[in-house]
Amino acid sequence: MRALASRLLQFVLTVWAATVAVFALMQILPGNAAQVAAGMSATAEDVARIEQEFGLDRPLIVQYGDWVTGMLQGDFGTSYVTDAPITPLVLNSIQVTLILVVSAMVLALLIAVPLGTLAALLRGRSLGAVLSGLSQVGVAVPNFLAAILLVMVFSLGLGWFPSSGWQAPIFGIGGFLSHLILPVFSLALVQGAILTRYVRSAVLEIMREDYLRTARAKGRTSASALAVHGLRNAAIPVVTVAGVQLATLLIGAVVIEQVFVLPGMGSELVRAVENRDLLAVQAIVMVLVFLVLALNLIIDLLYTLLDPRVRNAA
Amino acid sequence: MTTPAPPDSTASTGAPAADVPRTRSGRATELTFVVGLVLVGIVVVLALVSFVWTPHPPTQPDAAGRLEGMSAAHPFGTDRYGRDTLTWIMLGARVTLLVGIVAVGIAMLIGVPLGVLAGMTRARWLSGLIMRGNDLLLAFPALLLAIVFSAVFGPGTGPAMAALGIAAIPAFARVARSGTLQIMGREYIAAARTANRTPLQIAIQHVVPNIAGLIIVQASVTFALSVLAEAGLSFLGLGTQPPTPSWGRMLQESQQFLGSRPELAIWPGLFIAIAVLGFNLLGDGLRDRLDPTLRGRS
Amino acid sequence: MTDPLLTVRDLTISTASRTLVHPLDFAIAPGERVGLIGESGSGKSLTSSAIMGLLPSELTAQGEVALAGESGNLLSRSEKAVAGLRGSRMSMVFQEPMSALNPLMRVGDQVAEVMRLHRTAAGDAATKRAIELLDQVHLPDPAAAARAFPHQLSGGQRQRIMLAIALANSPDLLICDEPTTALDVTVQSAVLDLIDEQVTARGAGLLFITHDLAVVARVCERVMVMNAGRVVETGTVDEIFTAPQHEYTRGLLAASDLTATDARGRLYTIATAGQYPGTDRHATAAEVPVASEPATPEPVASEPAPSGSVASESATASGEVDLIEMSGVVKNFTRRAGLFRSHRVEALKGIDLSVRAGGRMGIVGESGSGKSTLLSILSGLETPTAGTVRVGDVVVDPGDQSGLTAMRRDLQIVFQDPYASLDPRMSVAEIIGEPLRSMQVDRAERLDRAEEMVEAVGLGPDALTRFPHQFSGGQRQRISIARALVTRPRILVADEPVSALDVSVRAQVLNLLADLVDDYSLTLVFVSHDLGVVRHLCSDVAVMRSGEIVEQGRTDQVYDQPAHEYTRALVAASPTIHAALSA
Repeated sequence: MRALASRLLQFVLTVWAATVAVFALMQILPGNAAQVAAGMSATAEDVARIEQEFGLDRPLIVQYGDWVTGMLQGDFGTSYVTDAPITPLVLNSIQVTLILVVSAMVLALLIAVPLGTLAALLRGRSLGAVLSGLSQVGVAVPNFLAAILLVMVFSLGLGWFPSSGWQAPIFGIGGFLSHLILPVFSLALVQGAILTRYVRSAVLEIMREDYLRTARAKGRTSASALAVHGLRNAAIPVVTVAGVQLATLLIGAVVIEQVFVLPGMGSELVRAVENRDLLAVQAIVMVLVFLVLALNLIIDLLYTLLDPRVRNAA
Repeated sequence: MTTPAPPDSTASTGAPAADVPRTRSGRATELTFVVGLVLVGIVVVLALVSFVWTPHPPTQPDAAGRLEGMSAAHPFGTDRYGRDTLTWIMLGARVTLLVGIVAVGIAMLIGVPLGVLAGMTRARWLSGLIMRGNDLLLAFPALLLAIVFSAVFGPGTGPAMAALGIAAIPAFARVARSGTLQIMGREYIAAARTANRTPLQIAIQHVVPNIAGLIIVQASVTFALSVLAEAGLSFLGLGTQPPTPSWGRMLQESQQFLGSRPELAIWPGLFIAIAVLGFNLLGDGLRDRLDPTLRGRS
Repeated sequence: MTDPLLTVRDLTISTASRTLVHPLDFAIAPGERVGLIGESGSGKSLTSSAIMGLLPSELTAQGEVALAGESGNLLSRSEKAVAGLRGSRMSMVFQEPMSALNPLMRVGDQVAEVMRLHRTAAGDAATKRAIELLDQVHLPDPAAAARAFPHQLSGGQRQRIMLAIALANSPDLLICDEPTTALDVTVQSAVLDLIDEQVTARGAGLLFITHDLAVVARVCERVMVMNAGRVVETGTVDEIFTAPQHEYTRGLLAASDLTATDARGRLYTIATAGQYPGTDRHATAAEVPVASEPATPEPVASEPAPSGSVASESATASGEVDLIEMSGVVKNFTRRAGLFRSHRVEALKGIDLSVRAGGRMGIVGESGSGKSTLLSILSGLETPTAGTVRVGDVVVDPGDQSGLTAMRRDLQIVFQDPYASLDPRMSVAEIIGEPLRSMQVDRAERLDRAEEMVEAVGLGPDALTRFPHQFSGGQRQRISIARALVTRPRILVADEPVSALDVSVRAQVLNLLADLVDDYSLTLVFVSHDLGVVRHLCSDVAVMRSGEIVEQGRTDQVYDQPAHEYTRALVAASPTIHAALSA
């Protein structure tokens, strides 16, 4: 329990430090935010008006305090550029991104666990070499390239799936899935290749462990020793990596959303950057960073559940 | 080859392992390394040659030859402005390598000293501070930090390199720290201390040479990741800006001609994959070649 | 004679390129206890793995292995068919108890698993039987132990669990591969008793693999001696230990016998084994105290000062002033557990220890006794929580750099692990010269002195340009000794310097140490878990347990009339060939 409390405290402190970091980054901007929002041709009065309207003339510490208290109440503020509230934009786009990322991760694991285990078992044989070669190539393919290739074949070529766009599930599950399938595969194929390599090396590592020899000495064959004693042990490093990769996937989705014109966090982020809508950038970046930190927390807790050594040391 | 390790001994692993011959996996390691070297070599040669020769001038608007297919004059075809794709691939290799070198350089020069310091210091607050800072930085994945930098400083190769380098600091710091911790537990460090060597001398003469293998492997992996991230950033239009050629942006510009001229996407895509694959394979090959007894957790 | 339980014929084990075990024949009768003895790389562990069908896949075994009641050659059976025998008719206990159990599974389940697997017990019955077995291997509170995870148990306890697993289905053959090598002496003794008891109770055949002659003499009836992949000699324990025929056996026996010394007071090595009088000598001369004798270079054995002329000179000259003095040394570590909690570990609880100039102080203790911490504090690597340490005229304080510099001219260390104590990226010349660099000795002179030392430790000058990985364990330990002595210290501290070495190499390194201590008139502080080694080398001994010195005094006195019960237990538990033979 103590360990859990201390891990939670660490999480809160890191999130707080992240808010400071994100806020500080946005203040480095050459010139100031009001000037950027007002545009190149704005007069001094225009800039002053915007500064006053959005409270940019107040001390930084006050602005920071406002921003954080706002976020705690679920309010990300109002854009200086579009004058629209940022919160609905974040809420709408986060759903799209999460659906995309979570489905891609599930699919990636479904690919990686069997293939990685197989590649480890077949090490030294030609099929094993082919599998690890394929995963090595898969790792090197950027996900947006995978997306372009998938569009070429399945959308432009075979016409099975739409090449872009998004349809919410309430307007029909078929349309939802057919719009989702290519983006998810673009992320999952590459991610699956990465995870395959980790699963393979985790299983290989486990196969060298003394306790697998013990299991064989008890009367198990190598395969049953691995299945009963090996895989759960191998799951520990894989879970850790999958957690880290989930964060990478979250950011990788930014590019994929761009390719398929999906209304997710990534598209909003890129639009905000292009419009120099700094408060929106600040909000979306903070949400993404928060998600990454929360994922790390969940992985740590999962790890504790899986491994009694950590559990008892706590 | 179990050796009778007498009590209190954690060692006696070293010697007899040499009995096991380098079989398939040994040859596979060799192959990995060589293929990696060749692929990286291709990219390096393209970039170097581009300084003295390219098949066509890079920015020759050739209206007659727009969106041409493969031909003797344009082996990789031409783009929508009639520019030679091979020329642009060669020039793009420069940016790719530049970004990799600068990002890895930043990350290594900052991350390794921090990691070694965190591993060697006996002041718990100092190593704690370094590692917590590391954790915080880890919350900003490379591509996200690069996007933020492009928002703050404006898009360009410079901010991209800086962001990718900073984002890779934690990886180097972690590898350096875990390697240093392992080395600090070795008796030859105690021997050096009883030989009255100062911490700085120990760091330079014992720690850094012995973790160099881990660092080189990490450099190779980070290089590959930076190439990927830069391509992604340029693909979003937030990285290298026109008129500087970059593979990521070539890929993005190809998107509207996917139906008619798919090779416009294939070539830059292929070369991104070659560069990434090359550095990944090089890293794997190096990992097995350099001191196999010391493995860092990546 | 009844049919043998296990028959091994023409067993050959090889890699793709070379043969590791040459054709090997032996048989074990039902209920017979056979020892297989040899040094590292002799092929003894490979032999046992081949019998169990557990060889690593890159090795191949040829020949025949037959088990009574099973048809045909086990080596030609399918994996599944051999697996059916493992854990039921033949079982194995491995060397390293720390890694042999699945860390994610409760140990009771791991014991029950072997019964469920062979359908000798199912469901709750298996769970119950597992607890009974844990009781049989004498684990306190077996029901609680069954619910524990491996990391919650000590090495000795884990080895008991391994034994419970091996014995669960009452196998006809039990193979033990160095089962006690990783354990402390007192724990080793208890585990050996347990193996003895359980094998007897079940009438199982035993194949016991070890490098330790004393252990094999204690457990087995018959011994096979293996060297470089061949069995060089087979016989009953009495035959092998009293009348060894093969010169390797004789050498091994001579080098293992820490109570036998040649005319110069040095241990026998494989090379000088010809002069070894044999273990029999003690049947007649068992009363002779050997401790202080061997260290005496001149015939002054009857004098009160036992450690040779140098010691007695300096002792009289300096009026019995101690060269090393530790008083009231306390060391506490705080181990942090989480952000809020931490608990204190008392590694040393008030140590008073003094070593006179020219003395040879042995410090013995088991793991966790604090002997390593004591050395770290003595050499200025750790700061004591309380108490003072004086070496010569210097009060050791890690904060006082000039004091440390002066102290380290006088005091140098030889470390335990020959594979970790030399920087793999430095040449031998650089390694040996390193202590001189801090003393501003120039490069040419460093090289000169390194060359001198390399010769003094019995290596050729060509060693200087080579790197550690090109040397064997014993040679590395010589390099380590050369590095320690290059500054011409007055005090040599040795931290388990021979514990990682094979017996034959151990004798050579101990002899070298003894020679150098004499030649350079060194004061020696020698830390070891091995009572025999300390008895051979040291004039005085301090016995440590849980951060305290429970007893100290003259070596022969402490060993022959131990005052503290722990010392008595330690002496009784330490296996010696003579004790085992006379039992």
